[in-house]
Amino acid sequence: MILSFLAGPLHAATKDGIVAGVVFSGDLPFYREIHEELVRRLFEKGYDKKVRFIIQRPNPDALAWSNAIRKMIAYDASLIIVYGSGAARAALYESSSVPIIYAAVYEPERSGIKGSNIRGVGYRIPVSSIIRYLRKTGDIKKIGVLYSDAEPSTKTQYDDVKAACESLSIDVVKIPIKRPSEIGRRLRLMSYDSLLLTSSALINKYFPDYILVFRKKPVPLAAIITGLEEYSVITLSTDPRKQGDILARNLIQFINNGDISGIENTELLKNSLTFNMRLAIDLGLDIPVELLTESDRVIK
Amino acid sequence: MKRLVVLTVLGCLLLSSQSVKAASGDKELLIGLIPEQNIFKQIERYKPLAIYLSKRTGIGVRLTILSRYGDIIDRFVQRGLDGAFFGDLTGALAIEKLDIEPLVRPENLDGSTSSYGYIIVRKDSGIRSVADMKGKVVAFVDRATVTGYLFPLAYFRSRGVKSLEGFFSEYYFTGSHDSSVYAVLDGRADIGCVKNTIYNNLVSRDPTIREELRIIAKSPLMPESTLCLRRDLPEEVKKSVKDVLLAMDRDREGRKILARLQAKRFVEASVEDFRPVYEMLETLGEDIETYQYRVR
Repeated sequence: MILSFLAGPLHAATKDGIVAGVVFSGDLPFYREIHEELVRRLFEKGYDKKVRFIIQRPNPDALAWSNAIRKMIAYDASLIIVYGSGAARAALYESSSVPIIYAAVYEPERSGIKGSNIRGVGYRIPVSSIIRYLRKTGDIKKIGVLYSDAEPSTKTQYDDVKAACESLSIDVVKIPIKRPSEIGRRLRLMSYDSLLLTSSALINKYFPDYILVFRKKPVPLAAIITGLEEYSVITLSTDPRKQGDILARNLIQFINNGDISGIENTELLKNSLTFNMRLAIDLGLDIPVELLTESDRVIK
Repeated sequence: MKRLVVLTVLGCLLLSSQSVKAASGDKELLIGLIPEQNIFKQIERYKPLAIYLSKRTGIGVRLTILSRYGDIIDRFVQRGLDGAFFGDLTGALAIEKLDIEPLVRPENLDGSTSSYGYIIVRKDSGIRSVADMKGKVVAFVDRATVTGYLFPLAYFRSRGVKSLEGFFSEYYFTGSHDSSVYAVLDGRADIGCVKNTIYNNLVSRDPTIREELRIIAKSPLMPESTLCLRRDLPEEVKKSVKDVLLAMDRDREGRKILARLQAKRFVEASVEDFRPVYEMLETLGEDIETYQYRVR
C-alpha cells in the first residue's frame, strides 16, 4: 500500500484548503482517468490550491480498503473520495461521520451505497445491449459472469445480466471471485461460451494475469469498464472523463459549503462502445454490422 | 466523424460490387439511396429490386448509396443520378431544388403509405416528458429528415425548449434511424428519434428492444420513401419503370422482393404527398428554399 502526495498544481495546501483522502482500488487505468479529469477540472476552475490529496492505492480487497480508509481517518482528512463500490462500501463501514464522495459506482442505490455521509456520481450500463451485441457475434447459450462479492455493484451487474438473459434462453453462469488465484481456476473449470467481466477492481486488475488460461477457449469477452480493450471484443463503458467532471463539481461544492448535504447523487448514462474487430477476427467470430457502425472506437 | 468515414469507405466498397449490368443496350439508370438504415442493410434491401427492375424493363439499374441524407440533394447532379428513393424532407427538397418527379412509393405491410417519427428514451431512464430531458444527450438522425430532426425539434419547441444548446447537454446526428435507436439502447444518448418503419423492423427482429424503450411522442404522418426520377428522362423510360413497380405485387418474384422491402406493393406518388413536410417546415418558421439541411 502506498501513501503518496500528488505532485503538480495540487501539491501545496493552503491555509484555508482541505485535505481529501483518495482511495484508488487496484490503481486501475479507468480510475486514474477519472482522477486526472478531477485534477484538470479543479485546476481550470481555480480550486487546485484549495485541496490537498492524500492518495492510497490499496489492493482491491475488503481488508486493504478498510486499512486505507482508517489511515485517511487517522490523518484527519476533511473528506474521503473513493472510486468503485468496494472502496465505497468499506468507507461506509469504517465511518459514519467523515464525509465520503464516490465516483464510478454502478447503480449506487441498488448496490447499497447510500447513507447520510455519502454522495457521489454513479453510472448505469444497459447490460442488455452488451448481450445483444454478443449474440450477434455467434451462437451464445451460456454466458459466464465474473464478479466479486466484496464489490456490491458487481453483484448488481450479475443480477442485471441474469434478468436480461431470462427471456433469451441464455444460461448465466455465476462466477464469484474472492481472490486473484480464483480467476484462473474458475476460468479453467467453469463451462461457458462467452464471458462478461463486471466492473470489479479485483477482476479487472488481475484478469490479464490469467489471459492464457482464458484464451484456451475461443470465446468472446465483454467488459463494462475501459482498460481491457486488448482482450475484450466488446466494451460498453461509462465515460470516465464525465465521471471526473461531475466528481470535480461535487468536490468544489464541498469546498465551498463545508458539507456534503447539498450534493445531489448523480447516476450517469453516458457510455461509449468499443469493438475489438481484430480480436473478433482472430477468434473466428461473426462481425456484426451494428458493431462496426455503432462503435465509438473500432480496433482494427 | 470517425463513424462517418468508416461508413463512407465501406459504402464505396459496397457500391463497387453492387452494380447491376444493363440488361440490354447502353441504357442504364443510376438510382440513389439515403442511409435510412446502415448502408449494408440498405443495399441488402434494395439490391434485389434493382435486379428485378433491370430484368423487367430491360434498362440496367445501378444503386448508389449516399453517406448522408443531405448528400442526395448536393450530389444528385454531381454524381449524375437519374433518380433516387427520397425520404420525407429530402423528397421535398428535391422537388424544390432538382427537376424531378415523384413516381411511386411503397405501401407498408400494414396498408399505410406514410410513416411517422418517434421520440424514444430508455424505460429505465426516468424520462417521461420534455421537462425530464434537461441536461440530457439527444441523438437526432440528420438535419435533412422530418422524422429524425424537424419533428423532434418542433416537439421540443412546443414544450418550451428555446434552444437545443441551452437545454440539452449535447446533441448530435447519428446519420441513420437505426443508429439513433442503438445509441439510446446502449446509453450513448438519452433521447433518440426514429422513423416508425425502421423501429418496427428492429423490434420485429429483436422484441427485447420494445421492452427497453419508451415512445415519448409520435409525429404527424409523413410520406414514405418515394422513388423520384429526373423529369427530363425519356417518357418511355419513366413509364416503363413505373409500370413494372406498380405491377410487381402481381407476380411471385415481385412479391418476394416486396417482402424484403417490408412492403405490400408500390402505389403512385405525387408532389401533393409532401404537403405534411411543408407544414412542418412552416410550424418551425423555416423556408424550404433557405433551410440549412447540411450537417456540419
